[in-house]
Amino acid sequence: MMNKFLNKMKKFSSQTIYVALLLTLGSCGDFLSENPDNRVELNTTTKAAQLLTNAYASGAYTFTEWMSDNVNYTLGTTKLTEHNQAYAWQDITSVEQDTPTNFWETTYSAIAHANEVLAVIDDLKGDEAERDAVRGEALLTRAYGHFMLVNLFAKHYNEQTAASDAGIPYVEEPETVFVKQYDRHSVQEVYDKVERDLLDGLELVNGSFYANSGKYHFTRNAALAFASRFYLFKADIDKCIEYSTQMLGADPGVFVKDLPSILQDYSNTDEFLRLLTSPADQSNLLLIRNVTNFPVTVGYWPNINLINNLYLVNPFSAEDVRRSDRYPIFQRGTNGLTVAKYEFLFERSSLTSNVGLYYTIMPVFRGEEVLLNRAESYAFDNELDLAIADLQFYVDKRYFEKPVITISDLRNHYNASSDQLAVLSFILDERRKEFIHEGLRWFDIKRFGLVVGHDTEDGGLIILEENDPRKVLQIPQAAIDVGGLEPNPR
Amino acid sequence: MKKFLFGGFIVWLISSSLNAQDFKVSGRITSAKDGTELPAVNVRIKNTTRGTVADINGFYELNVRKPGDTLVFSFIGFTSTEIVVGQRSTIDVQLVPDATELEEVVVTGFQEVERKLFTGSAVSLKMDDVRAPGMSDASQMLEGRIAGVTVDNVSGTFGTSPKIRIRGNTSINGDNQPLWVVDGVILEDLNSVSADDIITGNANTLTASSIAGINPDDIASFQVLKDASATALYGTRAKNGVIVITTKRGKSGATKVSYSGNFSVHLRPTYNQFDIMNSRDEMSVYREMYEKGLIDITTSVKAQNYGAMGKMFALISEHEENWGLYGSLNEEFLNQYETANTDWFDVLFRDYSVQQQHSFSLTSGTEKHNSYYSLSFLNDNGQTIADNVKRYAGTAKNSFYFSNKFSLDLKLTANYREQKVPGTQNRDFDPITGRYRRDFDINPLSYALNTSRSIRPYNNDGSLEYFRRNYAPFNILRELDLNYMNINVADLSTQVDLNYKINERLAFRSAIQGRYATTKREHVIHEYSNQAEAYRADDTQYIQELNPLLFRDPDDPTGQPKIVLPEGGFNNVNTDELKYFYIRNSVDWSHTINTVHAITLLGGQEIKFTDRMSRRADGIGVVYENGGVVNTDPSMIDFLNRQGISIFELNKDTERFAGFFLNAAYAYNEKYVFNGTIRYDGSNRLGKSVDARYLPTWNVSGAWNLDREAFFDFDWMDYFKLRATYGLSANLGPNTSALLNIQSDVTLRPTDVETYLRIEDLENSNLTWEKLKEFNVGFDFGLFGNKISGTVDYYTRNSFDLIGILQNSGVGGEPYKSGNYADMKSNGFEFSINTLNLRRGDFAWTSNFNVGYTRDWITRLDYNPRIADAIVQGGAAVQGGPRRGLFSTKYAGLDYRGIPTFYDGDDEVVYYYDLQERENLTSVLKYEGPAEPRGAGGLTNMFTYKNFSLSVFLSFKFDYKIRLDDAFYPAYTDYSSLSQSFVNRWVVPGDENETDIPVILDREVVFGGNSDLLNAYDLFNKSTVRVADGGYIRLKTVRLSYQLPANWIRRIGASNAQLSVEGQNLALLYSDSKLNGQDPEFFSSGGVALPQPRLITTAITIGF
Repeated sequence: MMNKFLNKMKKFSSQTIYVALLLTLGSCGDFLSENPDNRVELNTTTKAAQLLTNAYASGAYTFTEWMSDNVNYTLGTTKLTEHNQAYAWQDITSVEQDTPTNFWETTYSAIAHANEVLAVIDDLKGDEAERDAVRGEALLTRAYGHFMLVNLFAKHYNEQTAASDAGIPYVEEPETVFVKQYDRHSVQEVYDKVERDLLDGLELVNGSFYANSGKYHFTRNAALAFASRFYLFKADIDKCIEYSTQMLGADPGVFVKDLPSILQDYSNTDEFLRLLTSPADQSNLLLIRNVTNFPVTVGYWPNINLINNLYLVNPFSAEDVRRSDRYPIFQRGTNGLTVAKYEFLFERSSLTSNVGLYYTIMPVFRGEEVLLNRAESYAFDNELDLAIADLQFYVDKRYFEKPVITISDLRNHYNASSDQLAVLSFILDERRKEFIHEGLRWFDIKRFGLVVGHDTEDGGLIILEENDPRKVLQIPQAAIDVGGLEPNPR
Repeated sequence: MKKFLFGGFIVWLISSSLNAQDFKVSGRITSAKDGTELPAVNVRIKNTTRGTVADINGFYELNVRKPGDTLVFSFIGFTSTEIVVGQRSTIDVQLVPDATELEEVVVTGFQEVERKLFTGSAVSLKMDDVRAPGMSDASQMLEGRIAGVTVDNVSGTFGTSPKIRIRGNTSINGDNQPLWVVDGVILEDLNSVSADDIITGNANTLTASSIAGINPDDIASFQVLKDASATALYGTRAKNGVIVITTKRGKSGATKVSYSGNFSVHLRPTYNQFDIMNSRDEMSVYREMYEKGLIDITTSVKAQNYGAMGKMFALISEHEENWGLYGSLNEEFLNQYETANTDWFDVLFRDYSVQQQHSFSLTSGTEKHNSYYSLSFLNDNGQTIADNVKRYAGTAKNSFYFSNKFSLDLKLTANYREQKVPGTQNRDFDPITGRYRRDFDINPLSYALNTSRSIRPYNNDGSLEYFRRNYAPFNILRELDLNYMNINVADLSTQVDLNYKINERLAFRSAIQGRYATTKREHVIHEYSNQAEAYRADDTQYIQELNPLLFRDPDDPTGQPKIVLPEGGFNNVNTDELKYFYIRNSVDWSHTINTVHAITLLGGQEIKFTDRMSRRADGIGVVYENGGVVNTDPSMIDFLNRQGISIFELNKDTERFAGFFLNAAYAYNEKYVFNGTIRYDGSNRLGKSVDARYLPTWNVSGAWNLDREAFFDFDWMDYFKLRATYGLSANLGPNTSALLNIQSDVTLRPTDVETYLRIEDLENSNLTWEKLKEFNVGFDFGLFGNKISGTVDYYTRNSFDLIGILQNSGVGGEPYKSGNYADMKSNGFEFSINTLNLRRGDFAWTSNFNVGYTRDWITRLDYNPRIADAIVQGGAAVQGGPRRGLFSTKYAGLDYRGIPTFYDGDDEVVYYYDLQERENLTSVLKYEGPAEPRGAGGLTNMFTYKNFSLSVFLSFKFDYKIRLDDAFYPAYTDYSSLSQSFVNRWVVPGDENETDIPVILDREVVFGGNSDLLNAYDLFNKSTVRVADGGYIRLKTVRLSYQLPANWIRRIGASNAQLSVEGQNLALLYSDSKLNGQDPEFFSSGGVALPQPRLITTAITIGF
């Protein structure tokens, strides 16, 4: 002990000299620049890449399900404020998990991570190729975050009005002051910036630098899927087809989840859920860990009629894999149903504690979406054969006995006035079925101006009209009150 | 003082060589206060020039001409005493201290200033006045001693630092503890525990305080610096006030040895202090629970915990016991427990457990150097069977006087502590229920208070009896044996003080200290302990499903939950290391012109360097029986990883601090005094931002010694000094860094696990220190020959730039930011008075009374706490309210089923609030009052008669509210104790008009899935009926001491000896009856927290 102490004292005495020197030089600069704790300095590309691992928002946007036509009034469930407000298309005032505010905050936090990297990337030590890859991922995450925000908190992109429609602030540099003022960019400006970052990122992104599967990061395929969605939402059909094709390649079928074989293989529900969101599944293009109560809290869910109408009725009178006996489906309340989608994961605050956070793994880009995006684009282009060819890849893995799609079946089924409309209706229905509980239906409702009706507790009906301003989520209260952002009209 | 002693020493040498012609008078001079010998007392024959000075042991000898001569004994700080010699040859004298010691100096740590020239608000305490022999930690001795200083001894476990506030709070979220300074150097805490964490009962609260390592017998005095002027030289660390400890020094003269020892016995708590049912009443409640279907054979086999009734069912299900007649309860079995009435205090607390402290000190010296050495040993066997502590402390101090100009002090101190406490985990807050929970808590007090008295520690045959806890067999006695923590603290420091007088007016001083301290907490969880066995509890399929410590391997979905700790227990080690280096250089210049203009200048620089390192490592699968071999199951690591729990942690914390200071003082004729200080400080804690890291602080003050004015010349007025100060001080806020703070972590995902970085805090280039502007005005007075003296102060404080949380648009990426966003104001007064009430011959009665009152209110704070945070015991910060205000749910009575109901924000009657809500907090909840005492003080009465003295010390606090401990739950088990108020619980409809004690819920309600009704019980615990006034008056100390007569002790060669008997924490003379025995000062948080013990101490001090 004494020796140890003496050693310490030796150290001290050298520090004394050091300190004395500092004083005579009249400079305390270095002495006071010592890092106060074990914080990490962002000084290598490797660390920049690690910081980007957190540039994916932990907040989920699945609350859009409660606003969509995928739910009914569910009896016998505990309904939190945000469930009721979303279901009635009121401004959602809660701020915890599964609310617009939470998505806003976590997404901007993810964007901040990307911006910290972009602010210093040019000065970082490291391999040139790695630096480019890191820059690419940073640009993509920044673009993706803003893209999702603008589509939730602003009107859907409309070439005619986008320049005057209020969008969201597009943040391109780190915040360094305590209180910073932001303004909303127009939808057009946001889309332009998203496009710029997306294309730059697509150019640079390089999956070979990712450890593990890379599915928790923007790979080139994920970036292409993002481009596919971006141009579909922007109604730039040619570009949507271009990027979708780049992603799908020669054999688009491999990017469609092979549900029949998964259903055959799994031994219990947990395993089934894990297989659905497994990075090994080729259809999963980008996985994000979402902190969400969505899979466990019970609020509003589809009832049996809705589920049956969705899955038991189709143009081929074939059995839908997703409503087959092996597909796990849970009861919610007395009349709600959940199609199994998410793994229920739990982060305990301590080992024996029952307090903690629920989280799940959310596939935010899937191959099916890209395929359906391209089919939709072809259909808009009136290239119906190409559209049906794409859809066939999809139908093969969603209906038993792989029914062959024919225009006439679709026209009969939808009683449509044109072939094009029949194909588009089919695509829209399949998107709804494919992405149920995943939140994407809401964007289709906005894109196509669909009318949504919700039954109420007392048997009434409330309606969300085609151009209802409530289709644009309200900016979070704090961003209006403290941040001074213009609220959306009501 | 030092100079004076030195002079006295020389005079003594001369006087002893005088010729004796007349008759000789000799005697011993002691202090009437504590009986210690007074060296260097001036003894003079009245109206002559002849006299002498008492020697180092207080002995004097003098030649007197005639019996009518009068001896005058005078000594600084004591009232002069005149005695006619008469025919006596031995005259022993006791000098009575001045009511205030006018000539005392104020030790600021940077300089020593004469009291009358001091402009700030400071109080000095002699250790002899506050020394409570039974107390082993010096910081606890300040309770109730100083106006404006509030000390909450939140736990009696050795090492826990009390919560000390000087003039209340200055920060909302940051540190409010004062700065400790020992012999001029800041005493860093061993590890930092935040203000709100002191009350958690977590193990780290025991190893935070450095004061616990100091031997109280080494301390000479405390100086408490309260206002901005007094603390000005500490600049940016002084916002919370400063407590300066001066330790004892060597004395020149003959070698002196002194010993002080004390023996204390702890008195254990008893059930009549608490509101707990006896086992017969408990059993009747359990029968009701049986009737309601809450305990039966099915619930018992899958119960996490069970007591007597559950045990009966478990044994029946295993066919080891039979049902009673016709399938009824087995009354014969239950009867054993019904009559058990276990006294857990008797089982878990020691009777007359002894704490002993021994301290030796030795001083010796010559003109050229002197030394002080001390060694001390503390051994406390503990209040309970599960705690004990030993402390060894040693000090060596040498002073060298190389010349008139140059002197040097060397100090080496070391202390080492070994402590054992019950094993504990850190507590967690459950925001859903608003309850704190602590897994595997075996705190003996909590156990005694919370465990059913129908549970027995022993079987009829005397062997240990087991019940079930955490799905595994449990016996508290065995668990305390097998699950404990070993704490070791070693603290070494060395200090050099240089003094060089350049010339008459100019002096250079330097203080250098190096310190190394290490703290280790080892939590031993033996393989046979319940905590380890709980990992192996998989007896039945029910338990397999329920036990959260079993691992459901996602990669093996068909498998049963499996055991991840097949063998062994745990060995969890936390270590903290502190490296500290400090240097201060200063120059002071003083000059008095024409004895009228006194000018002092002090300038200097200081540097502080603190490195802390802490590590946590968990050993898993340690088989203690096999010599500590480790067998860690790989699936345990998997199990922990999947829940985001790491088994190793490393933290680093460094502080670099530099400051420059300049102080100027001017006094005119000792009448008008002006003082000003400027300091300029820099710290690395604010990050690399050069803008934020520096801060100038300043202070101006003045004093007016009115008694020196001709117009203020009253006979009865001894002195009167008016003071006023105004200045700025500061402190670092909590978690302050202006820099981008990126932290590393590991992803929590089923696959693709990788290291990642996350932004903890964005850069905040606007960040600055938390600041305080203070105006203080006060006066000191002495009346009637200093029979009455006192001090009155009033202050108003404006704390600004406090760190608060500001919600923003979220667009920058951090929706809730910490920044200099909050402001708080406070004001208060302090009053203290010393009186000599009565003096008749050898009898004297003196009193000291002090009281301080401070009120703070938050004037700016953007962000409200959640309702869940506002209703807990510690309270929460809300704009307009005090720093911590206590809020309650608004109780609206029991409903027709006996379930509690509440008013919500719209005065609707509800069963449930959304505890996560932050908006409308003040309309939903009722504000009860501050959670921290606004007022505190103490009253000491001291009676002396000849060699006896008796002191009675009361301490009190007032104006705050306390949340009663949780007592009501939606479901009770037969493991838990119950409040006596259960006797009056709701039983049949109609009772809701008579009682507020909620019903024991039916099985259908408990398991019916309506969680709102269950939450009503959590809200009830936090409701308006579960609040008590916190004010109390405590009989803190009663002490009787006896100074052994000089002629007795001379026979054994001693120079003085004193005996004393003392009682500590004897009784609460007043507290709110609703508390039912709950100590208002103590937070019953489990873990390592224990109440302050009641102690009876006998002490002896003897000097040779």
